[in-house]
Amino acid sequence: MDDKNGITSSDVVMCPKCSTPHRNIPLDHGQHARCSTCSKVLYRCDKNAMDKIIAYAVAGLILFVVANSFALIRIDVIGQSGFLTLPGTILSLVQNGFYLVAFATFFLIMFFPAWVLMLYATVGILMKRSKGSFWVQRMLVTLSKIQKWDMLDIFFISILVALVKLFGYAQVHLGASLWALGAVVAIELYLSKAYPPHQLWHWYERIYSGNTVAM
Amino acid sequence: METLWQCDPIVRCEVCSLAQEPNLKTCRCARCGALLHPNPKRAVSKSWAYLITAMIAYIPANIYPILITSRFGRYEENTIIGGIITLWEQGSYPIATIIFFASVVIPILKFLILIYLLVSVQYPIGKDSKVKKHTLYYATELAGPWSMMDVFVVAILAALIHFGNVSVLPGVGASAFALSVFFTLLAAHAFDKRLIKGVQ
Repeated sequence: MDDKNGITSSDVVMCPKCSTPHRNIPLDHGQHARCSTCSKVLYRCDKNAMDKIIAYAVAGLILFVVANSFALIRIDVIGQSGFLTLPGTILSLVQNGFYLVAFATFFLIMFFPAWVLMLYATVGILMKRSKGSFWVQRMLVTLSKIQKWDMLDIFFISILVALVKLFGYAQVHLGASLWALGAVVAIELYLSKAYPPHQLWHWYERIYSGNTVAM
Repeated sequence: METLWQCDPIVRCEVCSLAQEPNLKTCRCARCGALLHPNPKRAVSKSWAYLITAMIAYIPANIYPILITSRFGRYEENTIIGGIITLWEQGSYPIATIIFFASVVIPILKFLILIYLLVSVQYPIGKDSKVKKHTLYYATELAGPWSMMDVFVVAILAALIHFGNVSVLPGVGASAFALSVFFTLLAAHAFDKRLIKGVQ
């Protein structure tokens, strides 16, 4: 472990699953390193990774704005109609007096998902320009901590469950926002699987420790 | 606290995955400051506190209605279990099963697994290996947030169905259930899987 350019990095990489130590070796574009014991992927080399992260994260943010702006589903019952929007869910909880659940739900389905996407985008931009090592470190720590509180995918499945519950009772129309929400959920799933925090930390070490060979 | 992991010459930080020789004085990661090894007494008692709160909150979550339907002035209250039974009787077997799993099976299983893991830190019970216990813990962490699905479904239906004659309102059980899930998540997080020991 040493300190280069104020960045703490390590010559050793330990497998997250089985803790076997490995030497931290530079890779070529497209290669990936696997654990010698359990074959879990330890880290990859992808020179375009930051571009991809920025693209996906920004797309996710735009789609998230769309998902919030329009109706997710509309229903017609006996001539009357109702519709559901993402902020509308929170507002209706507030109107019914459920302030605690509204407060929690706001964070779980609006604040944290947006924050995760924004962190990915910002980290991608900063690491691409090789600037802002202190902020990237703080943001990666935050990302590691809040990713588990991002429940947008659970909310999406909940909408589907509610749809099935309503199926016999009302005419259901799917709104544009529902597809946008599905896309955001897919993007978040992809980002968390392809670019998990430990992979981002690995690139953080490579980019900011002054190596001529970045990534 | 130091004696517990003095045998590990190199440790991986959970938050920033830095492999380092642990600083025995501070027990914190050199890069991100996170605890490298949990303080056993503190982590266990914190986890117990959260878990017991979650279990207590689960009782009103099932006694009080989670969903209230008002049709033409007539109020119909639905508890979690009552709702599942109604769905089953109506023939929606898949949805009834999903909700049964998400709102009854998974929360109770989580309680039992966390109790087992917490007790096994202090007393050697059971013959499960370290790997099996890690798998149990990982399963708990994975399935935990999905119990929030019931709360979301209630919120969605309440937001959607607000007509003159028919409307759906959330019930007190929804708040209690949300609290229970929230504290279970906190308990699982406070527990810290590095406390798990193998069979002696």
